[in-house]
Order: sequence, then structure tokens, then C-alpha cells
Amino acid sequence: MTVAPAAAPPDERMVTAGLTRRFLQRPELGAAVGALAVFVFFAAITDAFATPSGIANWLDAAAPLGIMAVAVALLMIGGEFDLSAGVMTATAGLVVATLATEYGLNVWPAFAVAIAVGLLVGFVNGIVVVRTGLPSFIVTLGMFLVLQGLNLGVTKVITGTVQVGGLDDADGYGSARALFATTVEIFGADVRVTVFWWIGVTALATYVLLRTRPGNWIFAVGGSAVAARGVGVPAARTKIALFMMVSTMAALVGTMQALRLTSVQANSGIGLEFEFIIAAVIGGCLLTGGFGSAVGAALGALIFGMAKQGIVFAGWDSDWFMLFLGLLLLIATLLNLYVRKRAEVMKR
Amino acid sequence: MTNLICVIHEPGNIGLEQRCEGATEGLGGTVENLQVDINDVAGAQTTIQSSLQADPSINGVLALNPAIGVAAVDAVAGAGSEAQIATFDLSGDVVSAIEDGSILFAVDQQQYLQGYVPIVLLKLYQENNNIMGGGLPVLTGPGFVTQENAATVADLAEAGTR
Repeated sequence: MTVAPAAAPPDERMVTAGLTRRFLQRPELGAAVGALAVFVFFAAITDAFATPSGIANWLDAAAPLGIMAVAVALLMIGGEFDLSAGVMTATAGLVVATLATEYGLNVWPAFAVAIAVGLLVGFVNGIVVVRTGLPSFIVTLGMFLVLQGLNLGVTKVITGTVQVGGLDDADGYGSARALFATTVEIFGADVRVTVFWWIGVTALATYVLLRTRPGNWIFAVGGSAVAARGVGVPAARTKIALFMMVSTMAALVGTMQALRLTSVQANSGIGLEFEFIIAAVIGGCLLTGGFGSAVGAALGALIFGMAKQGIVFAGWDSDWFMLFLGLLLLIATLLNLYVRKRAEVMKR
Repeated sequence: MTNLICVIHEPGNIGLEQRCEGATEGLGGTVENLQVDINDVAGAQTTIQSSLQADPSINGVLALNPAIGVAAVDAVAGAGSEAQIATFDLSGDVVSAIEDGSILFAVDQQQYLQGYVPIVLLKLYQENNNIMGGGLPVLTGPGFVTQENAATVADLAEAGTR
């Protein structure tokens, strides 16, 4: 009979962390505090900001940004950028509006074509990045300019002008609008249905990231694509899929905007790609990849939306709008950083 | 109209600032400028809506671009405001909005004319030494589009020449 060996100390990586500690480790904690601070600030200094219709309004502003920020956050966690995502929303809107108004197609098949274009654009982005090893920053910047040129050029050739309008007369407009762009009355305020899409996308992305194998792959390829490949993660396929997911989401958001406005300008979407990235970073995504969260990105978009509308609610001189917006975002991000640093110290 | 917001959709465009200044002088009431981004029309709509919600005494919105004019219609409806809307320039959607009364009028600069007429004048001068209007500036506008004449202009706006 041998003496049982003394129990070895458990591997520190296998220890289940306590609830408080796990809470403090969440990347979205800082963003949540930032969002709360921005909300309290504007609720205190303005009358309309915290009313149901005020809330519905800034949620409306934040929702399309939020959907895209969540998609872009996943891509950034996977270690890549997509600068073409902003213009892609316009491309999709133009595809839907042009097919429906110039070629008399029903809105639904037109939407399917827009999604297909999104998948294709994302696939091209992904395959070029993966095959050439070029930084996605430059590859998708190229795609950004290509799409910007196509948006203007193709629209001009087909319609003879620089905008496509009259989408509300197309077949299938009513049913498509009901799903993608209508408003629902809650507490007497008209809440845009995009807000629910935003919540749904955030929940789905969070589930995929934290509870599924592809979610693990995303963190792994963002941390180190080579090491991930070494342990059997299909790194190339994961990255391509992420690019395709972002462009497809842009196609969805672009269609939503087109249905909502019933017309699309050929120059739309330019500059929005940075708002998506800004929202993801405010929400705790690292620019270097491997770290971040979908809920964080959604909160980042919320901060952005609240700050943008809050300035108008407060009636600050709109010539200084960008200055106020920039300062608010810097303050929110600094607060985010501060909270995360404190959390790092406390969890030890 | 006594309390107007003038929506500037392109920061740094002097022409837009001047239109708002003109509106301020001509109206004699209060005019606040509001900055929005023409590349994000949905965002512009929510911004106009915020402005209307924040100050219910605003009873007029002046848009300087047809897409912003149409966005202002949704913003006014969304805010439950009584504000009336006027816009610069036309699109098919603007003309429909004028027809159904949701936009009061559009100031059509008749840009097509601004391009077309000078060429005609130059050609006539070159070939025939003609001078029109005694050599003084020939006005190409503005053409005001209101509910009365909107139907006539509708087809032309669709075609892009008005």
C-alpha cells in the first residue's frame, strides 16, 4: 500500500475565478461606466434627453452604428480592420434602390442581391489579406476607394444623377420596411426597429464569441494567427469569414437605411467606417487584436450616439460640435481606461 | 415662422453659411445653425429630431439640400413637432413632399439653367455678337416650387433637369 501523494496545488489557469473577479475582468466594464456617465450627464443638464421620446431618438442614432460596431469588433478581435465597411452600407443601399426603382425588382430579391454583393466584397477583402499577408488596413482602404468610385460611377451611368429615390413606390417596400425600418411604440415613444436588431446582433455575437468554437478561433487568430494555425485553428478561413460577416452586416444596415430614407445618395457612408472602429475601441477592443467584446462595442456605439445627440439636446453652439464630440469621447475613453486599470489592480 | 433652425450639411461650405445668414436677416426671428453630415442622412435626421425635441418652440426648419429636406420631414413627424419645412433645391422626393404639404416650398436654384444659359449666351455673342439683358447679370432663378406648381415640376425633377 502506498501513501497517497499530497494533493498538488491546482494549475492556476484551471482555477474558477470568483464572481467579482470575473466581473472586473470583463472588457466592457469600462464602457458600461462611461455610458452611464454620459447618460447621467446629459440627463442632468437637459430636459428632453431622458424622456421616452428622447431616449428613442438617441437609440435610433446609435443602433445602425451599434450593429456595425459589433461586427467590426469581432473582426478587430480577429486582428483585422475593415475600412470599406462604411461605404459598403451605401453600396448595398444603392443596389437595393437601383434594382427596385430602375429595374422594377421586388425589394426582397433586391435585398438578396445586396447581401450577395456584401458576401462577395467581404470575400475579396478576406482572400486578398490572407493570401498576400498585406495589412488589412491598406487592402480594405483600396476596397473603400473602389466602392466609393463604383457608387458614384454606376449610379450616374444608370440613373443620370447622383441619387436614387422613390424606393417607397417599389413592390415589397411595405413588408421590408416593417421588418427593417419601421417604428414600434413603447411608452409613448416611437422606437426604431433597428434598435431590436442591434440588441439581437449583440446577443448573437456575444454567444458566438464566448460559447462557441468559432468564437475561440476569433480570439486565437487575433492573438497570434501563426500560433493559432499551429494548434489547428483554421486561421485563414476564420479571417475570411469575419470579413464576409462585416460586409454582409454592412449590406443589412445599408438596406435598413435605404428603406428608412426611401432614397440613397451616391456619396453616403464615407467616414462612417471610422465611427464603427471608434465605437469598438471605446468599447474595449484592442487595435492589435485578440481582446475585446461585442457588448463593449455596443456600449461604445451607445456612448457615441448619446454624446452626438446629447450635444444637440443641450443646445451647445453647433459650430463647435466636433470639438465637443471629440472631447466627450476622449473623456469617456479615459474613464474606461481608468476603470479597467483599477479593475486590474483589484482582481489581483 | 419665428424660431428657425438652419441645417448645415457640409461644414466649411461658405455658401451654406451665407444662406443661413441671409435667412437670419430676412426672417427677423431667431435662427440657430445646426451642423449635420450629408454622408449620414439617417444620422442627420436624428440630429434634427433631437433639436426639435430639445426646443419645442422651434417652428421652422430650413434645409439646404434636398436629401436633408426629406430627412427633416421624418424628423418633424418623429418629434411630434408643428415646425414647417423649407428646402433648397429639388429631388423627386422633395417634390412629392411639397405636393402632400409636408414641405412648404423649395428654393430651386435651377442649376441646370445656370449651366445651360451661359453657353447659349456665349455662343450667340461669338457667332452673332448678341448681348442679352443689356450686358447686365441675367438671373437664372430662384424658381420657387410650392404646392401649386409642384405637379408640373415633378416629372422634370425625376429626370434630373429641375
